[in-house]
Amino acid sequence: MRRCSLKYRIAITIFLLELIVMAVVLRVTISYIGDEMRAEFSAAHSVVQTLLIDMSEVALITDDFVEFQGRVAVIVGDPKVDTVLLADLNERVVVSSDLELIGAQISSIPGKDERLVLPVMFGKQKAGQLEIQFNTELLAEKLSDAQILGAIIALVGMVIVAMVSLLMGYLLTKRLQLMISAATSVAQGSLTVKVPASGNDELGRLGSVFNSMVSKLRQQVGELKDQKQYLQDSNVALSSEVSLKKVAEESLRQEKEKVHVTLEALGDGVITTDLEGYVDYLNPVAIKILNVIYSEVLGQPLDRIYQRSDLVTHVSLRSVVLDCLEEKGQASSGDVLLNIGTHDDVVVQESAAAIKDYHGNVIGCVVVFRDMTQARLLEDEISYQATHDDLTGLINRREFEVRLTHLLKVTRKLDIEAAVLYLDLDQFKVVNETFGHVAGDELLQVLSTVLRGNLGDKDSLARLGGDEFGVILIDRDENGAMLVADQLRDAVKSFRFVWDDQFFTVGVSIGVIPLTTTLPHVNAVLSAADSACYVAKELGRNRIHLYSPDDEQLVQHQEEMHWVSRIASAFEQNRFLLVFQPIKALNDPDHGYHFEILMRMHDEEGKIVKPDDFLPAAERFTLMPTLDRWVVRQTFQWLNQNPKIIEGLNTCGVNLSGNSLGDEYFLDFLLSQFKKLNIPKHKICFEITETAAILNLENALFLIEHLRAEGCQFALDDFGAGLSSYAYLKKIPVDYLKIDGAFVKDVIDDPIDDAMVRSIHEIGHILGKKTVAEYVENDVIEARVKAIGVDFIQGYAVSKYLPLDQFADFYQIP
Amino acid sequence: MKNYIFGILFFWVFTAAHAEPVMQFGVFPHLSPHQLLARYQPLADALSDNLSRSILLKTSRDFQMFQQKIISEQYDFALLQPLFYPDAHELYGYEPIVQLAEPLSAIVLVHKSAQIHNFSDLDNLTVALPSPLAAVTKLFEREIKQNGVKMMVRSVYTKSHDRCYQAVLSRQVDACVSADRSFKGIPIAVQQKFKEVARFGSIPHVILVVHKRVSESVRKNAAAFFLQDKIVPTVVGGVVKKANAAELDNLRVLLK
Repeated sequence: MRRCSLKYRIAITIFLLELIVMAVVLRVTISYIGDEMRAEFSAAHSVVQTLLIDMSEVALITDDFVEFQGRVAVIVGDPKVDTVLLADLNERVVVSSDLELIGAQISSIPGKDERLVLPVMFGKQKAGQLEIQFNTELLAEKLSDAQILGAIIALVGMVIVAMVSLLMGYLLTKRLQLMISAATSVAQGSLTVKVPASGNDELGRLGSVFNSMVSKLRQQVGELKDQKQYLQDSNVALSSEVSLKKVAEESLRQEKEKVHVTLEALGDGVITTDLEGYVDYLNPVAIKILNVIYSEVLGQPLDRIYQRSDLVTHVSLRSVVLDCLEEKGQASSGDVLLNIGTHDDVVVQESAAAIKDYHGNVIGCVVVFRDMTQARLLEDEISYQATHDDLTGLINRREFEVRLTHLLKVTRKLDIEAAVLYLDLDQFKVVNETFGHVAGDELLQVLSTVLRGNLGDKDSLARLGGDEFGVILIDRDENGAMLVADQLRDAVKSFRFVWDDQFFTVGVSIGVIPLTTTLPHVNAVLSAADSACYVAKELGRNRIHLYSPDDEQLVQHQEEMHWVSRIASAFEQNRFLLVFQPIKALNDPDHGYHFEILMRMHDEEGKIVKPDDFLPAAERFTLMPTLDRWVVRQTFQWLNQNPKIIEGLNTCGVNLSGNSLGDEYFLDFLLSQFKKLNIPKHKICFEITETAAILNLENALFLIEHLRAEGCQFALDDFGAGLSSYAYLKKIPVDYLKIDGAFVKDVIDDPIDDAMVRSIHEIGHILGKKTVAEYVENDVIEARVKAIGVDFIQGYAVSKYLPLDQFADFYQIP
Repeated sequence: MKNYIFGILFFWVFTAAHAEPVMQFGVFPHLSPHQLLARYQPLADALSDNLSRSILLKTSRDFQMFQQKIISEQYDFALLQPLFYPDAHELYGYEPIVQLAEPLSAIVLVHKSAQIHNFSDLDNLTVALPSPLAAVTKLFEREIKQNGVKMMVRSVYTKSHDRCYQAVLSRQVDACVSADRSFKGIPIAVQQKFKEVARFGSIPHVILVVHKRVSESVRKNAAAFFLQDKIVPTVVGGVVKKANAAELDNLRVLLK
C-alpha cells in the first residue's frame, strides 16, 4: 500500500468504503425482498387453501365432485400449486389434480409429508380430507433471481464506484502531479515551466513559491548562457571564414569538371581558341567531324583544320575567328560547307562567339557546329515524297494544286496562256478487276511514262488519284491544248499493255480547260475540269470535251453536284419531311385508310423543294438508298406511334427507288424495321417505278417475291410512262398498277390517253391486279376513270398531299 | 394383569364405538349448499349428540339429484319436500317422523311496480319456478287446471326459491311461484319489493323421514329429539308435529 501513489491510495480507500456500504445495503435489500416474496406466496397459498376448502365443502355435502374436479384443473395451472387431492370420509380420493389417483386411498399416495393436510369439517363431523401441495421451488427460483439481480447491480455499482474513486483520486492529486512534473522538468534543465498557482490552499501557495524559485534560477542561468554564447560566436566566425574558402575552391573545381563533361557529352562539335586563333580545346564530336587527332591539332591555328565555304556558291569564307573577334560577341550562325581534306565536304550549322573574362575582355573564341549532312538529305527526300506520287513518280495532287495556284497568279500578271487537262482512264477498272491491282499499278506506271513522253519540259503531269491524271500546259492556247489532248488520247489508245501473255488497250476521257479569268481559283478549275471530263465520259468514252462556261451539259452536271451537297446538308439539318396523299377506293366506301407517303425537302429558307428538283441528283449520285431508308424509318415510326391509324389502315404506300432495289442490304433493313416497330406487313405497299423495276429486274423480283411472301403488297408506279412492256407485267408480281398521271390528266380530252388508261386497266385486271389512276384532278376525270372501272384514284379530286399532322383531321379520327 | 385387562377392554370399547357407520342426514336442496350447511349443521350436530352417532349432513345440487339419492336410499335421515314423500315412503323404505305443523301454500309474487294484479293476469307472461319437481310447481300447474283457465304461461326453472326472487327483481321474468314459508325466510326489506297476486293450495309441508334400516331404538330416540329439541323449529322454520300418516297418504292425490 505504501508503494502506491497517493492518487491510488485515495481511490482504494473510497472504493473500500463504498464496497462495505454497498454490501450492507445489498444484504438488507435481498433479505427484505425475500421476506416480501415469502409473504406474497404465503398469502397466495392462504387464498388457494380457503378457496379449495370452500369448494371441498360444497362437493362433499352434495356428493358432486365433477365441478370441483374441473376447477382443480384450473387451479393446478397456477405455478404456485402442484397437487390437489380431496378424499371423502372413507379416505377414498374423489377429486385429484392427477386423474389417475381418483378412487385410490389417500393414505397410500406417496409424498404426504410434502402436502398440506386439511380435514374438511361439517361442524364437529369430519366430512373428508383435503391435501394440497404448493410449489416451493418457485419461491426458491424467485429468491435466486432476486439474488442474481442484486449481484449484478452490486457488480455494476462496484465498477462505477471504482471509476469514481479513480476520478476523485486523480482530481485530488492533479495539482501535486503537475508540481512533480514541473520539478522534474527543472531538474532536467527546463527553466520555462510554471505550475498553476490557483487557489489559496497549501498547494496554491506552494505553486507560487515554486514559480518564484524557478524564475530566479532562470535569470541566473540566462546570464551564464550569454557569456558562453559570446565565446562560441567568436569561434564560429573564425571557422566560417576557413570553410568558405574551401567551399569556393571546391565549387570552382566542380564547375570546371561540369563544363568539361558537358563539352565531352555534347552532340555538337566545339572548338575553343585563344585570342590569336590557336586551338586550345576540341571536344570528341569536333575531332570526329574534322577527322583530326587531338594532340596534333592542339595549339595549331584554327584555320588549318576548319576551312569553310558558302553552301550555294562554294566560295571560301574567311576565318570564323576573325568574325568572332571583330564582332566581340555572337559572330556568325548558319549553314556552311566545311572542307575537310580528303573526305567529302560536310554541311554544318555553325555558330561562334567570343569568350570573355570576368571583366568583359575577349580572351578567345568558341565555335560550335553540327553536322547537317544527313538531315539535309532527309529533308530533300521528305520534300520529294510530299510532292510526288509513290507509284508513278509523277507529282501528286497537292503539288499539282500548288503549281496550278502559282500558275493562276502568274498568268494574270504575265499574260501567259495556259490550260489544264483532266484525264480519266476508261476501262481501267476492268484491268484491275481482271488481272489484279499489281497489273493495274504496272499499267499506271507505264502509262505515266507514255503521257510524260508526249508533254514538253515546262508542262507538269500529275497523278490526281486512282486512274485520274492532271496536266498543266504552259504557253498553250485553246487550240494548242486540244492538240496536246488529242496526242495524249492517241498515245493511250495506241498503247498495248501486255500482262500474262495477253494484251489489251485502254482509253482515256479528257476534259480541257483553258485558264481564263472566269475560273478564279484552283477549286473552280479542278471542278470545271472534272465536269468536262465527266461529260466526255458521258458522250461515249475516249473523248475530249472542251470546257465552256455556257456548256449546258456541264451546267447540268454541276447543278447535280450542287444538289448532292444541298441534300447532304438538308439531311444534316433535318429539313426533310413526310407528307401523305389519300387514295380513294371507287367501289368500296368502307375501304379504310389508303394513302401514299411522299417525301419533301425544305430549302435553306424553309420553302418546299419539289421532288423533281432533287430526286434525279439523288438517284444519279446513289443517295436514294439513304433517302429511302429515312422514309421507311420515319413512316414506320409514325405508324408505330399512332395505333389508331394502324387499326383503320388498309394500305400505306411507300416508294422505293431503283438504287434501293439494287442495294443488297436493303431487304434486311426493311425486315428489321418491320420487326423493330411492329408494323403489320400486309398493310404496307411498296411502290416501285416501272423503269426502276425493269432496269433492276433481277434484284426487284428477288425483293418483291421475298416481301410478298412476308405479306407485303407491291405497286408498279407510273405505269405507262417508261418502258411499258406488258410482257414485264406478267413477270413482276405486283398487287397494284398505278396508271401514270400523264395519261390520266388528259383522259377527257385525248382519246389516245383514254385508250391507254382503258388498256392498262383492262390488262391489269386480266392479270389480277388492282388499278390506281394518278393525277385525278377533278370530278369529271374521276367520273371517267370510274366508268372505265379503275379501282382507286389519287389526285386533287381526292386531296392534295397533306402533312402527317393533318391525317387525323382528314380521316376524321377522334 | 388387571391393567392388561382394562387396556383390552378400553381398546374394544374404543374400536366398537368407532366401528359404527356414519349416518347420513339428507336435506332437500331448497338452499344453496353453503346456506344449507350453515343452517342445518347445528341440527345435525345436535342429533349426533343425542344419538351418540356420527351424523353427516348431505344435500344435492338440485331436486332431481336429491330424488336420485332417495331412490338409491342413501340417506338414513332425510328432510323431504312433500312431492318426494309418497315415493320415498311407498317405494324406498322411508318412514315419517315429524312434519311441519303449518301447511304449505304456493304464492305468486310479482314486482311491486308490476301491472299484474291477479292470477289471470299471468296469461302470456313468463313465470319462474324453482324446479319441475318442486311442490309449488305442482300446485301451480294444478291451479291452472282447476281454474279451467287456458293460460299460456312460459315457465323458467331457477333451481331454488332464492333465484326465483332474483329473477323477478332483475326483470328476467314477470312473476315467480314460491312457497309461503320460503318467502318469509328472506329479509323484510327484500320482501317489500314484491307483491303477492295469488295464493293457492294447502298441503303438508316439510316432512322428516327415517329409513327402515335404522334400528328401532334409534328411530325412537330420533323422533323424540325432533319433537322436543328446541333447535328443531329454529332450523326447519316452524313448529313441527308428529307425522300424520293419513294426511301424508293423501299427498299423492293432492299433487296429481
